[in-house]
This record gives sequence, structure tokens and C-alpha cells, in this order.
Amino acid sequence: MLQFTDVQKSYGTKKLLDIPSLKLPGGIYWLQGANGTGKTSLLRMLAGILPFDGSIQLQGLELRKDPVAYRRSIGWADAEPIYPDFLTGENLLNFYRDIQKPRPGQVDELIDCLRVSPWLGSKTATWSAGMCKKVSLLLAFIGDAALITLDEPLVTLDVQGVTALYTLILDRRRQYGTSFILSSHQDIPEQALSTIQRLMLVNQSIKWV
Amino acid sequence: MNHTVNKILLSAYYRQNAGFFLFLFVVFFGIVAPSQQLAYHYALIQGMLAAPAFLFVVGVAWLLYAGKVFRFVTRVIDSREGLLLYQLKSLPPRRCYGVLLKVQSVAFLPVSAYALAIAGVAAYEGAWTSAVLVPAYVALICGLSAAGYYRRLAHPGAVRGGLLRQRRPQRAPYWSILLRYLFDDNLGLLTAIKIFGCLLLYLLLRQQTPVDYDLRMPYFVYSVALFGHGILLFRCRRLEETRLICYRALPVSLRKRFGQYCLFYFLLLLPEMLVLGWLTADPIRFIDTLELILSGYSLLVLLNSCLFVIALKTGDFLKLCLVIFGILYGCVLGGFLIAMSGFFFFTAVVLFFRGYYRYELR
Repeated sequence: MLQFTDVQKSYGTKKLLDIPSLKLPGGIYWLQGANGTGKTSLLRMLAGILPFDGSIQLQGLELRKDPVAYRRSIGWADAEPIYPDFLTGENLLNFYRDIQKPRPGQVDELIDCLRVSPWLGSKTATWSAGMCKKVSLLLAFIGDAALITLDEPLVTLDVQGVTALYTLILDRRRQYGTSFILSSHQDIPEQALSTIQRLMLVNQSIKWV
Repeated sequence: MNHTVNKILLSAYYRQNAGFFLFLFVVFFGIVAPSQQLAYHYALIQGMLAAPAFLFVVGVAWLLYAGKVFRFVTRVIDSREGLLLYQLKSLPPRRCYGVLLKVQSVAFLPVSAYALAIAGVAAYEGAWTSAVLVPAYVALICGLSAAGYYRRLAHPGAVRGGLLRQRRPQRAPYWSILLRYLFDDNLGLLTAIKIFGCLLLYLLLRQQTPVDYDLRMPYFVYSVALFGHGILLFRCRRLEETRLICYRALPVSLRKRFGQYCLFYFLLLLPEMLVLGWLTADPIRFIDTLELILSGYSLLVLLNSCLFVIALKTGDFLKLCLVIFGILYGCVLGGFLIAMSGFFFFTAVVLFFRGYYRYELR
């Protein structure tokens, strides 16, 4: 599903990531690692937000050669999502709808599952961190991505939100075979996501745990 | 409580709009000698009372000013900085409304003071309808605005009801988000730049005659206005890097992304284009209109592309703008502006397509 070849990422003279070769088959992955090991950078590289050296392929699509098709195959939610103050949730949804062209009913199902309907009409400036997080998760699920990367998805979520997220992940995996990479410092219980596999970012590279 | 509200709303309002009030002060009191001030304003008010259309225009201007105050206060209420204001809800409704009415009255003081002067002159001259209607109009604006703030506090952030899914989704293209950012968060600067650019350009170009035809000065003014647009452009890029980074991860081709920026800058420069179009043929030549429009537009697109190649701080960006303006002004003097506009646009395309995905957000 996902293939890294000679992937390197540096900030100035400091090398953060160095992944000579790695293949990840489809599945649900929990990316772990201490602060500053490059989890957020890695997920942003995967999403096509951060430039890097080397090659990343998702289902045979190379990020640089097929930037649009690759990006259509990946969903991404930031650790600390932040949107323009003047936009409402509805504006954000319409913006994503326009680009991702989701199947009919998909957005409504996501709204129901994450229970974000009450504040979609209000501006993001008035949202709490948890409300912002739920909407960012919703946006990441819009479309038909083969891989969805979620950076610290559990931070600021309430109990109901965490349960809804696990349900969404399992449903999407079961129905469409979507893969997931979640980075989290919080515990993800195995009974919630039974098939989850652990990856560890150490010494600038990804190791299986 | 009053002290906190004054600090969060009124002090911030007058501090943020100091330039605006200085401009108004100069317009109203700076163009006439001090000894003539009283006679000047008396004559002005008499003109308003004699011509209802004039008074109507003044009323509309006050309404626009009320809109400016309203936008400021509601934006503060909606922001994180305004969270303390929600303490007002713990007051009895009448007292809460009273505090908000006081806020509106103080922010509206420049208008209220002038309205009082109009009412006084109207009463002195026996124009009792105006003497009553003018203060009533101001009171109505203040009362309704305060009611609006009260409602905003009671329903924080509410825009519409829960009929979200029954309505047809409206399109939200990227350029419209950037444009909304300018209208919502940079309205003062945008208005000032547009008034400066369009008005001065119009006045300077109207002076041109076939005998005395020289566009160097109008072009210089146009360049200053474009420089102002550079600041807006820079702010838009900052917004993209901080609050719209998700756009980079979305499946949009580079061609479409570039198209979004092209459309955005076209719309941004549209008022100037309309002014130039209006004056084409008489008094300015078609080729000069074309030169001004193409050079301005290509310059904005080029500056935008530059910001996808190098990460610049505000000061460095302004220096870059000055260098590019210098080059452009050289082209004005040399008379090869259209060729340079083409080169700028071509460079903008190359920089954008090479730099967009390689650019590192900081």
C-alpha cells in the first residue's frame, strides 16, 4: 500500500527522518515516538504538505509524479487544526465537497456520527479545540481515500467523540479497505481497534514494534 | 465590569481606528482656516437642512459607520479575546443592554456629536422635523446596534438555524475564501487602498489632455496603490500558511491552483480596471490602459508566485516589492511595459509551477 524509498527530511542541517526503504501493507497503524522524533512531519510529508527528498508511493501512485491522484488517495487531519476565523463549518464542508466530490450521503453520515451538526452554522472563531478537532476529522474522512492519516486524533476529543472515531475507522476499514495511520501519545486500547499494528519512530526511521 | 468592557471594546476600537479618525478630522477640520470653522460647518449644516437628498446621503454615511462599529464589536465578541464579555450575561437583561448601549453610544460619539449640532441648527432655524428626526435616527441606530450585540452574546457564533442539510450546498471556491478574508479581516486597509488608488488615479488621469499627456505621475500613484495590494497579498499568504494548510493536501492540480490565484487577483484589481476602462479613449489612450492593467495584474501574480519560492518576513517582502516596482517604473520610462508585463506573467507561471510543492511552510 505505502512504500518509502530513500526518504529523508531535514530542517536546516539537522536530519529528522531517514527511511531508506519501507513497505507498509494495508491496515491500521499506530505511529508512536517521543516528542520531536518527526511524527507530525512524517504525516505532513505523506499528505503532500511538507517537501522532502526521496520517494513516497501510495498504491503505486508517486506523490511527485501524480500529485492530484495521490492526494485524492489520502486524507489528513492535523494535530492542532486551525481554520480562518470568518469561515463557518458549513463553509469548510462546502469547500471540501467541491474538491473531494464525496458520494451522496457520505457527509451527512459523518455529521451524524461525529455529532457536529449543532455548530456547523457558526464561525470557527467561536469553536472550542474539541469542536475544531471533530470537524477536522470529519473533513479527513470526506472522499474515497485509500489511506487516512490522523495526527493526534484523540487530543481534546470527548468520550463520545473517541468512540465515534473508532467506529468510523472500523466501518471504513471493513467497507472500503481504507488504511489508517494514527499518531497518538494517548493509549489506544486493543479492544477498540483490535487489528491495530504499532510502528515506532526511533533513530530517524520507522521500526515495527 | 464597565472598565473591562471599555478596555476590550472601546479602547481597542479607537486605537485600531486612530488613522481613520485622523483622516476624518483632517477632512472635516483641516481644510478650512480655524477662524472660518464655525461658518463653514454652519453653512454645511444649512445645506443639509435645505436639501433632503444631502441629508439622506449623510444618513447613509452614518449607517455605514454604524456597520463598521457593529462589525468590530461582533468580531470581538466572537473572538477568543472577547470571552470575558460573556460575563455580561450574568447581569440582569436591562443592565446588560444598558452596558452595551453605552458601548455603542461612545463608539458612535463622533456621529452623535455632529447629529446634535445639526439638530441644534435645525431647531434654531425652526426646521422642527429635522430637529426631531436626526437625533431619533441616531438613537435608533444605537438602540438597534446594542440589541444586536445583546443577541450575539445570547447566541454566540450563531449564523443560521439547524436546517443545514435541507439547503442546497453552496460552492466555496478557494479564491472566494481569500476574498472573504480581505473583506472580513482587512476591510479598513482594503478600503483605504481602493479609495486611494481609484480616486487618485481617476483625478490624475482626468487631468490628461492631448496637448499635455504624461502618464508618469499617474503611474507612480498606481504603483503606490499596487504596493498597498502587496501588503494585502502578503497577509493572504500568511493566512494560507497558518490557517489554510489543508488546501495543500487536497487533490487540486497546479493549473487549477494557479487559476484560483489568477482569478483572485483579477477580482482584487477589478475596481482599478473599471476606473481605467471608464477613462479609456477620453482622456487616456487604449494602449496606455492596457499597459496599466497588464503591468499591475502581472505584478500581483508575480509577487504571489515569489512567495511560493522563498519564505520572506514582512520587511524583506516589502523590499522585494520595491525592487520589482523599481524595475517596472524603469519600464514605464523606457516604454516597454507590455513586454515586461508578459515577462512578469511568464516568470510568475514558472515560479509557481516549480515552487508550489517545494515551498516549505514555516
